Amino acid sequence: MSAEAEVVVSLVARCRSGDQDAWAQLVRMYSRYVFAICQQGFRLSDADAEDVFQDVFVRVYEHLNDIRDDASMRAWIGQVTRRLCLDRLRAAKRSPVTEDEWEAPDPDDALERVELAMDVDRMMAELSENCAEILDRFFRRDESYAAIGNALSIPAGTIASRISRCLSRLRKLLDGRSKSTQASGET
Amino acid sequence: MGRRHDATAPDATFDLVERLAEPDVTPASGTAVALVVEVALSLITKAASRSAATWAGSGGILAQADNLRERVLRSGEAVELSYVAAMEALAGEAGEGVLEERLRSAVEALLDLATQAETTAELAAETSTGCDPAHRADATVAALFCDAAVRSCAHLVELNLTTTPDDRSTGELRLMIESVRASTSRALSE
Repeated sequence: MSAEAEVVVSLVARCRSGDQDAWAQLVRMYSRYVFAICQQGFRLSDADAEDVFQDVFVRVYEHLNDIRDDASMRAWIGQVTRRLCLDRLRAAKRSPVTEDEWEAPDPDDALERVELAMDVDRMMAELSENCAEILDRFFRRDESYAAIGNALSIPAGTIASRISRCLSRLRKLLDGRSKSTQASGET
Repeated sequence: MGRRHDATAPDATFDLVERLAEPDVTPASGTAVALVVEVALSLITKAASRSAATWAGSGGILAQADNLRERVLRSGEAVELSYVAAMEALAGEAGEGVLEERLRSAVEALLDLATQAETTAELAAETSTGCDPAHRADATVAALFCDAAVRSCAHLVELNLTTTPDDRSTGELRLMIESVRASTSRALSE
């Protein structure tokens, strides 16, 4: 078990015994993670993100004794947050839209994102080998420019611009696919 | 000190800045470094998005900044957690082997954060080169922040390595400092 996991396991154990300081520490530790999912991942408004934030930690508190693997707390909190974000988007769609809520995101957005991700996967295969590899290394494997440069024998100082160019090509492929889908009458 | 926020306040960044001043073990300087890199990414995002009308490459910069922000968030968490674990071990709550392992984890977390800062500095330099000159200053300041972040990580690693000498980490950091310095010079020369 990593040192990080040990800290989490210890904190959760203290939370179970009613240690409020440990609970506050646990909430602080994951607060930015939860907000990042709400606001960057699901584009929730500040108010909705705050509501989801409260709901997430109420659930975590209520289910502290049900967690099977304390060390995987981060993954579990991420899962709960994503589920509650989707609930929030669906609820926004069902409610009558008021003037204040006109910017509420479409609940189908999440599904569209999944479809887009699958399209991106397919289009990556149509990119040049070099482009596909650079994008894969940066966005999927989270490699640094230095690591990509070393692996592909490319100067690290040129990676950022290469990624931008490869993304433009990917965008064109995706736009082309989108146009052909519309032309063929697919929905 | 400014207005107080409770632990569940939604303004997480503001809350973090306030908590840095508290006497608790964490958040501490490692977390502050992660925050600085996040700020740098926000400045890059600002410069790129404000240049969108005249710069075709701005979209690619925004996508890379988004990805790096997520990495820095994770890295900052790892730095904070590993620091807590190392402090507990140093306080005598763990054996000698455990102490060494936890210090090694703290060093690895800082190395990862330095790597993200190095990459962010290069993204800042690229932004500085391509963005609308009116918004270049934001990208340049972002590069300077990253320079400070990498050097700060190197300092923190040096402190952690006092009990576990390791040439690999210091060597990696030396290269990162040189690399981020080159990126910063490039941003400043635009």
